[in-house]
Amino acid sequence: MVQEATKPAAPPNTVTLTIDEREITVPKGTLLVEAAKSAGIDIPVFCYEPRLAPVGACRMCLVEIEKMPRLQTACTTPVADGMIVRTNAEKSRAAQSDVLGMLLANHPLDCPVCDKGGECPLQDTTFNYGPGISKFIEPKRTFPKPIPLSPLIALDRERCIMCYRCVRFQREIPGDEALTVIDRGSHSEIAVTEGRDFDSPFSGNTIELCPVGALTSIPFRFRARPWDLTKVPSVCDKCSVGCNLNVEYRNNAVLRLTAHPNPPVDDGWLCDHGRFTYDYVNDKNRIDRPLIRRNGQLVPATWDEALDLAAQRFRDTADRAGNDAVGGVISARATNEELYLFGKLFRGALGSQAVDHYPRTGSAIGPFGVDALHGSIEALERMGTIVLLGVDPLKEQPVLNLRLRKAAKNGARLVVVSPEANDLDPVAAHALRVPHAALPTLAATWANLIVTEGLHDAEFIGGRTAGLDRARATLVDFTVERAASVIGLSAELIAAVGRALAAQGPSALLFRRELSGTIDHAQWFAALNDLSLLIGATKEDGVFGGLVTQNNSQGAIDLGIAPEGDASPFGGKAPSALYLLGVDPLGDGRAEALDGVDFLVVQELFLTDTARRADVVFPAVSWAEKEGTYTNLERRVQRIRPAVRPPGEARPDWRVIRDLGKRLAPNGFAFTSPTAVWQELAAAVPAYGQLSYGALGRGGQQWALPHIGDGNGGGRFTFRSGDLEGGAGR
Amino acid sequence: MASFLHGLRAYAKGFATTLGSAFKKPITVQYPEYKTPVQTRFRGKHMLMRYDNGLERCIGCSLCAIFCPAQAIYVEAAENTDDNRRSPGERYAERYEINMIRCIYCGYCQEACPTEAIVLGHEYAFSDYTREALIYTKDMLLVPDPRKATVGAGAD
Repeated sequence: MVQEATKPAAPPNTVTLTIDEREITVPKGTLLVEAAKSAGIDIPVFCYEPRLAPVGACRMCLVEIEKMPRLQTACTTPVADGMIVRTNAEKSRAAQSDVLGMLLANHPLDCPVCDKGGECPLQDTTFNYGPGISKFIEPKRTFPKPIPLSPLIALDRERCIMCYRCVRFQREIPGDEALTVIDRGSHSEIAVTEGRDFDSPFSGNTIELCPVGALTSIPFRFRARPWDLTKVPSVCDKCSVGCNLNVEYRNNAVLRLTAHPNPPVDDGWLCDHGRFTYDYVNDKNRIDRPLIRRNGQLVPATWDEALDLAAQRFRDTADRAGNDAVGGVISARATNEELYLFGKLFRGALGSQAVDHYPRTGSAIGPFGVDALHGSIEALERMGTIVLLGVDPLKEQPVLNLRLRKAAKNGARLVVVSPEANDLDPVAAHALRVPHAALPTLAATWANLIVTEGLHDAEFIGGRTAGLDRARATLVDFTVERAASVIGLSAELIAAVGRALAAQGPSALLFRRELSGTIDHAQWFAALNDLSLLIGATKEDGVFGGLVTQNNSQGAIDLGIAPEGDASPFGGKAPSALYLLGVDPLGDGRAEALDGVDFLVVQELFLTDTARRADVVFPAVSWAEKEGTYTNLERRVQRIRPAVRPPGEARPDWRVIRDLGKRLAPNGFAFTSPTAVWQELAAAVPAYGQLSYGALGRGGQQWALPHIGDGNGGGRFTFRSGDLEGGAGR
Repeated sequence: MASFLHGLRAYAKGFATTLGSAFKKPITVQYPEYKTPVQTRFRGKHMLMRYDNGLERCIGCSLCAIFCPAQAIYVEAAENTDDNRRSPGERYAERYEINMIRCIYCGYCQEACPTEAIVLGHEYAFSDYTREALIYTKDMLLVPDPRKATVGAGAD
């Protein structure tokens, strides 16, 4: 007689096991260490790191599994149904203690002078699992210490426990062979590969990954103990990715920046540029009070004098030469609140349209009529195909480059089209060298090829778009042969790559907004919009957009801080009174931007070339000193918080703009905090109005695209009639 | 009458004690001209000690500062170089300050110190007119270099 099992059926693709007498159900393939973590059971580890492939090098995570003859490493053992695991029984406890004893056999007792001391996993694990006393009386292995691996990172070989996290990180994440292990057994040591420099732009992550004090930061060396530092979570302002970080300070000086993982954005990584660029905040040469020009010299002034003078001259110029004669350019690195106030100052208080952000991001309206990325950074991990046209993320959005490598590792086929060698070439399915001038032709040719050969998703195109025939007519001249002659690549290669783009599966298309040379950008964007629709990059699960470069370029686009037409203060004729916030045209070799400017107001951290020429100089504050929000390249609005006090009399930038506004307009500038500015901004900009201000400080929130429900890619795809000719979104 | 005699007896007894004490050695001293010795384990003003070779014992590890229940200690460390060697090993205290009026003289700093660099001495008289003057800096806490002291004092 067959009896049916009465146990409730577990959901498919899960396994149920017992760890320390507790029954746990986890997805199939989960590693034991992760399964235990999900149940709140702590298994000590050193070499295991969820973002790197497991190796089982340190043996710290030994656990007892019933029916297995020996202890197993929890970090390399996948769960199995009915497994019975003990992490705290006598055998595993003894193993943990013994392994720690062995790891400590050669580890020096120099915790008091070690920069890791106080935040060291080896200290903590020894405290929790260690033997308490050492059995070793033999002398420890010693090395000269420390040796610099690079100008940023010092290696202390005595402290190393050979977990290989640093070597594995470099190989697996940025794909760099700069670090290696030399020699064998207890003589093993981490070293820079012969003939190489440890110059990876992501090297700083190895400092944080190192579970002991073997790799330490040279700029931070002995500057403070971890318990001396106050941590303020913030957002990096060095590029458009918007990685989250902790600003750690002591005595009002920023001493280091560490990752504050926000996995959808940064996966917990930082690039070295973001991690190590903070000395300027502490610089003693910063402008610390307002300056005004008297008798040809810039001399210190009170805030009231400087603000009154600037307001008076702006008003006079507007009255004399027209409102548009007063112009302003604000850095694309300013916060949304500052951008909004700046726009309000010029458009509202002065009635001038001459307001712009710098560096200016040209508009790139997608097929849905929105100038923003469709999809998200995280979605790139799930792509079948990723097309990169003219972008160089390693230089411009470094941490995005890591995400693209991760996508390639997950099986995405990368098609890298760039004028020069690209860091992603080695992991790309196709790497094509194409000059900027030929990119519009290439995009149009691929669109033509796909539509002519009928490789697109006909159901999607037919059901959701209009104008396919018109689009086909505009593309008909872009034959593969013509493209081959323009670009200088073989027609077969262009056709083969083009066909590969149309393969099914989620796809992404990321492109450079501004191509160098004389390019018809309208044609470039039209071709991109066509191609994005035809390869499905604009589907719910796709990613499509032009990558912006500055930390708040997207915010400047969203808030419309750009003139209509050609009235740009940096484009056509310069206004006679100009307000520059964080912009240095003379330093950037754009001296012509100041031609014809009679009255110049500059707000800056340092006395730049432009500031030296100004009539009024306001001290600006750095990102570590102010409050506000940034919008990153994927529309994610994230909050920054002030860590240190600005020098001298410097005031937050939003306050300076507000105080100018108060002098130039009877009302509308009565804000008391950046939060108050945000509230008005959110009411004025519909996309921002849907965001919860609280969420912005906890990982941020993407503003919702009109054609996607909730802005996180999980909503309904309500778009009905796009136009394949591009431009006009419905 | 009886009560009168009783009172007289009390006077006599009292004066006898006074008179007796007048010929004993006094236990008070004329401070500050004279000072009474303190117990060996008395905890007074801190000293930053040196090794016999003159190198500073303090390595700037800040353990005293984190142990200090009154948060009276401030340490900033720096790295030794071959040209400027202040302590053995890699690290020394570039700044070492104790707020003497915040300190509660509990001696935890001395207990926490891994190199026996900070020791609470027997000095206890260091009043001053401002609070700032009572934040003692490293040069006020560091004991003199034994080698230099010998030369400077012109011994022998």
